[in-house]
Amino acid sequence: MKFTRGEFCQFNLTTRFKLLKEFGKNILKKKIKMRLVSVYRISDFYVEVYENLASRKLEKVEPVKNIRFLEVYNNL
Amino acid sequence: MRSDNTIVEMIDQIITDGVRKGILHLYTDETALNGNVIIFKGRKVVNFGSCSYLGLEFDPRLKEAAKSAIDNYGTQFSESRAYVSINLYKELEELFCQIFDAPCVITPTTTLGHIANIPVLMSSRDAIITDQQVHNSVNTAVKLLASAGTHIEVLRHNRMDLLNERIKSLREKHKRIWYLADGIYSMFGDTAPVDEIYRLLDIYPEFFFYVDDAHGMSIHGKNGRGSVLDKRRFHPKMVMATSLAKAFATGGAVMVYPNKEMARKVRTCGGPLITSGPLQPSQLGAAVAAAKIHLTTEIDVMQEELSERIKFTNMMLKKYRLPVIAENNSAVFFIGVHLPKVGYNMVRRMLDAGYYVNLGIFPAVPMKNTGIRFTITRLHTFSQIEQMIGTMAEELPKALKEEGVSYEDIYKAFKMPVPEQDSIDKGVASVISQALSLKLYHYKSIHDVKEKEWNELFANKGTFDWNGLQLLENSFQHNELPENNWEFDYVIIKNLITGRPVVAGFLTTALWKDDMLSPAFVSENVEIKRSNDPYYFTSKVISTGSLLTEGEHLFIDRSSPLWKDAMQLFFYRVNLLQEKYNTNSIVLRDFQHVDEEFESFLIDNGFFKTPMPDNNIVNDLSWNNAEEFYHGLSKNSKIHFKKNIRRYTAKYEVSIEQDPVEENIDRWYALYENVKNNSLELNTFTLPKKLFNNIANDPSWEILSLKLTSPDGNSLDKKTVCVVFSYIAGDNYIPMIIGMDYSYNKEYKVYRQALYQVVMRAKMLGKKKVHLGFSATVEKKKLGAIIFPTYAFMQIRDSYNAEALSAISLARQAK
Repeated sequence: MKFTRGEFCQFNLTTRFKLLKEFGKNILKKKIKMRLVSVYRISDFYVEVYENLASRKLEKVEPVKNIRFLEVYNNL
Repeated sequence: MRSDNTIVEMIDQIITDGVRKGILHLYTDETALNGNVIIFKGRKVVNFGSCSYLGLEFDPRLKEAAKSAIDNYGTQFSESRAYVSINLYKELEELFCQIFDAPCVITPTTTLGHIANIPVLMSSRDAIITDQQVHNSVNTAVKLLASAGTHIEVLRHNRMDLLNERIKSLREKHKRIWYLADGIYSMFGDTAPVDEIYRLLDIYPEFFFYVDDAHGMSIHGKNGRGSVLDKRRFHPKMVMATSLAKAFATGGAVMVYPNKEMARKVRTCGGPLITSGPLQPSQLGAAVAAAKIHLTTEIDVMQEELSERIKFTNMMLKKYRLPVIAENNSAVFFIGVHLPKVGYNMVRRMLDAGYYVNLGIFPAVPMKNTGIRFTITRLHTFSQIEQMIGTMAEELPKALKEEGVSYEDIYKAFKMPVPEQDSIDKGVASVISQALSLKLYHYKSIHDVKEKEWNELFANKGTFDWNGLQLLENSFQHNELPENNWEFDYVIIKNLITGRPVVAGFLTTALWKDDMLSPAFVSENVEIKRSNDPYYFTSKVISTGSLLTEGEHLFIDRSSPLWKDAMQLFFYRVNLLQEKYNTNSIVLRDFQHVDEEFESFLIDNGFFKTPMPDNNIVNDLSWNNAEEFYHGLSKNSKIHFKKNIRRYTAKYEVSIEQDPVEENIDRWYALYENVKNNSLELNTFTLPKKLFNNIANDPSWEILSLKLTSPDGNSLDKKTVCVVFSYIAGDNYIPMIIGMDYSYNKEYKVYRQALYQVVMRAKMLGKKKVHLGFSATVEKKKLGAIIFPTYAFMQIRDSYNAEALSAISLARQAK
């Protein structure tokens, strides 16, 4: 299944998250304060997900431009 | 060529074929369903055929409400709603008034809703315009109005420019003009141009809109009020019918009205609301629960979830480059596959791969617009959708290859531009021919075909041996009027190993009157319009044979193991010719013996069988004289013969015309025109005079004339009262054209005498058969003719004219 970033971003946050679950591969999951931060790889890009653990709401499901951002999580 | 009965026959042929192939009339195996997976014959498949787009059928609140209603009211409250309804009805109607913000009436089904609405709301003073693709249930109800004399006509699908014109034309004569359409069309999933319709409603006070929004209910609009009302007000001149049996996930239907009086009148006078049974309590209970969900913001979330899946599906269809017929925002999708055989093949392949999809086939779509219809629901996962579409993309090329169809054929059949990357696979025919040692020879003139070779196949079959075709080519080319200029194409497909033809025939392309075989009263109606527009309801048709030949035009060597492959090559060439000449229909005609294998083969290739007028042949000329002929007739025919033929025989001088001077040809032509203008049973264009000149000078034809004589033996006024133009071929005598002076027919039974004299003439020439052709079967039977039921196989690209003629026929029959 090949998505471009642009195609991926046409969907709402809930759908993006479902698409990640169905087609993506989870490569990172970390609890940072009241957020669960996950990173998925889908097609040839990465997506950063913020879930608010208190409200159970998705706050962010966005492709990231550069995989070097992963280093940030490694250091946390 | 179609009547209501033939349509039933056509549906029977096609559906039965699908049932035989194991893809229609299926039953699931399981005793309980709980999602979008169903089981057929032990195999689990994902269901892509459900119209319950929101998946509410498994919502525990609906299930619980249905059970509770049964506990409270039983399984049925069996009383007409004219008397009493259980209070759940009242509650539900009130909820729907909130959903639609308009008066509502609930009916047991959408079809019954139309039957309740249409005869009550529309009258004989109104005009009804139905969209060409409006749901069949709407048309069913419209038929009820035909008997009241209501003007009914069909509009080309979604053509608002034409609708505007028709409103302008009809508003002078009719109190109201109703346009009947679907909100979302059930096959291609495309939508009615509602904004444009609203604009017309605002312009013309006489214009009203009746819409069936069954596939839009729940999934669009505030509170799920449907696609028509999505971000629009309820127009005061609109009536809407919508189904509860689709995304609403219960049963029944809701009729929505612009005012209380209209709702009251239908509730009071609508037939099914007086005499039909009510909805079951379980359905009402579930519907109340569903309606309550619709009145919360939960419905918005569900709509959004479905909408995301629809968006995803459109994206995947593009990615996999499938031939999607209409990209839209509804949950119905249609992938064109062109011919029924590819449709059957694909549905089978998809089932084998674990996906159930619908076959979109005639009568829901034209034969050559067969496709795979599938639906998306909120229950589908994104990966199910992606995998199903991926499978379809993988299987379609295989199915196309197996059935000898190309992507290009699909796009052409749906009148869509062929994407550059898909204009491949043109070589299907050449692959078949190379692999199977078949070779197709195509000629543009009979002069290019070897006379001996052609006559070996067709010499005894009719007027289309080598000489006969030469006359036709000379007569129907280079004329002034378009209807008298035909294209001629000759196709011979040979087995290169045996050197023998497997399939051969000739085709003509000509302008036909679409009402050619309609009842005479339909043609009468159409001919009035043709006085201003001579080509009204006419279409170009490519046909085996011609309008002036009868008989077995297509030679097929069924003993050859390659006959089906040869026929595929023949179809391929005919399709190319159809493109070249831009014809609307292909007609393969004059088949007398049609077995199941042949019929099934033609249906798979997109043809439907339709009866032609019976062919009449006198094939026993073993008697020696007129007296023996008489004694061979049945008892009743003898009485008829004595009374209507023998009694007048002596009054006629019968001769074979030998003097084809201009003056005589003019007189014969005038007699032919009498017959042409007197009969609309077989409504054709008038034949050109050039044909008669050619016939008169062709030794293969003869002209038999009947002159009435006075008691002293002189010809009455020296006037010919009848001429018969006959072709003589081998053992056959083939009268093709008749001309008559009708002023003598009643007194002297001219037509009957002519038939008799034709039979006598054939005997005199030592022939074995007289081909008396189509029509006047009763008269011909009385002279010993045997009736041969004859069939044609047709493909129609655009059935608009046929549907419009059917509407005229329906209205007249009802009167």
